[in-house]
Amino acid sequence: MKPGPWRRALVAAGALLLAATACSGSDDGASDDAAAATISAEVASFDLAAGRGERFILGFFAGDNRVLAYGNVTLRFAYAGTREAPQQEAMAGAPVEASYLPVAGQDIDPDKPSPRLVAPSEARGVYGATGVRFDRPGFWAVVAAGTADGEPFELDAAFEVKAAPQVVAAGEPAPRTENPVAGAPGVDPVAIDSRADDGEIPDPELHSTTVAGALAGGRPVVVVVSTPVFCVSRFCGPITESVQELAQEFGDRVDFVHLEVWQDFENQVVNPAAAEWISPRDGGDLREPWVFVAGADGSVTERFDNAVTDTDLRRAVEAVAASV
Amino acid sequence: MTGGRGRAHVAGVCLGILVVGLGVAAYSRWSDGDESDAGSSSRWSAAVTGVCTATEQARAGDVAGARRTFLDDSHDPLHLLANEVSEDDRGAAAELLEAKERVESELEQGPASLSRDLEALVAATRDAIRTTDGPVPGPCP
Repeated sequence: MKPGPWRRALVAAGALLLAATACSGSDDGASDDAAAATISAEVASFDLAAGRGERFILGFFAGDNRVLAYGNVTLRFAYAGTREAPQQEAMAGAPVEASYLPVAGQDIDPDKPSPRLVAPSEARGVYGATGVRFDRPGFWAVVAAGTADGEPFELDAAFEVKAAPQVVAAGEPAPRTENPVAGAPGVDPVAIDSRADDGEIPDPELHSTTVAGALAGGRPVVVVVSTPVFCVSRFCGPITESVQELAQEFGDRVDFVHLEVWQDFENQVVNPAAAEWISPRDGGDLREPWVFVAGADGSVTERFDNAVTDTDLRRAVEAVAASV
Repeated sequence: MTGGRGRAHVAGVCLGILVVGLGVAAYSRWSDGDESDAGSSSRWSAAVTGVCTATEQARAGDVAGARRTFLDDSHDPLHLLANEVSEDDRGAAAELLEAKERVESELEQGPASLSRDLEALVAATRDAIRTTDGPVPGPCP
């Protein structure tokens, strides 16, 4: 996909970043704190909309590749206006606790107390809160406070909240996608799963049925829209493999479908099946990975953007499996 | 956010600028991984060094060490490099990501071809860095 006007506008506004950086930091002078000076916060949510209970996730990175892991951080959100009408002052809402969410596919103890900076080989994940409601669209700022190895930090980041979801959301009907399955004539195996560069499509349970077929059969369906090879999110993990493991366990009650994002990565051709699920309705940039869970009635019950834990995935699948 | 009881004043005039500026920061960093040229070059160079070290460890049969080094020193920077390169040279980004995925897969499974594929990843990473016009680290010693 080509960069949209929104993205170009943001890049053009980059000069403002310098001024923003000069203004950012904590209220209590902790901006010179060593930990805060070396950590940055990055909003990891892909699609936030006003008036809904949203899943808000963000990650913390140190300059030396370490990542913040374990424990909780506190988030405060403030409406900051729009490009046309930025707020001159902003009021922060009530604090929200965000817990550590390890990326799926890791064997770690997420209940270790107190955030610590760790090597990525020990743990990778984000901090997240659910049910976060933004009362209006526009730019929002988040201030995240916590400790890293016992040292307090307070970091801010900004993000956009749209008036409505730009990607298939909970409560909406799941697209009746006629995705190509393994062995589909005339379809490059790599366009079905980017790992199939030898012609052999992995994870057959994820490539044997269409979303439309699953829904027509009255079965719940889990749809993972990902590109195992070409993922560029720094939180990329073995999300497709994690869904595959659930398919082996719940496949008697739930259908599981992997939709490869790219029909042709080099020429930026998105698979139509994937586009039905994750192409932003406003023409914005496509981002991945996503996991969607739909019940037997064909409605999306949950969706997970970017990073999700094995625990949350399992809970969502168990919920729709139990309804069969 | 709704339900904002106990509201606190968190920013003054600066926030008006902060809004758009941080929006740019969050959005473009997430999308592009843009950094200063010097910072990027240093990061890419460190990524190559990490893959070289992992190659040595794999050659010595230390797959666990190779995995640790790869994840700690190279994984994130390679993602950021691929993201940056993909704006201008999708082919180089594709080759980098394909080589990286082969290594990741083999780090989990530990086949005999790991060190060969790590060497291929070094080559793909150096090719990708070359497209950024930044200094290209030398090959592994």
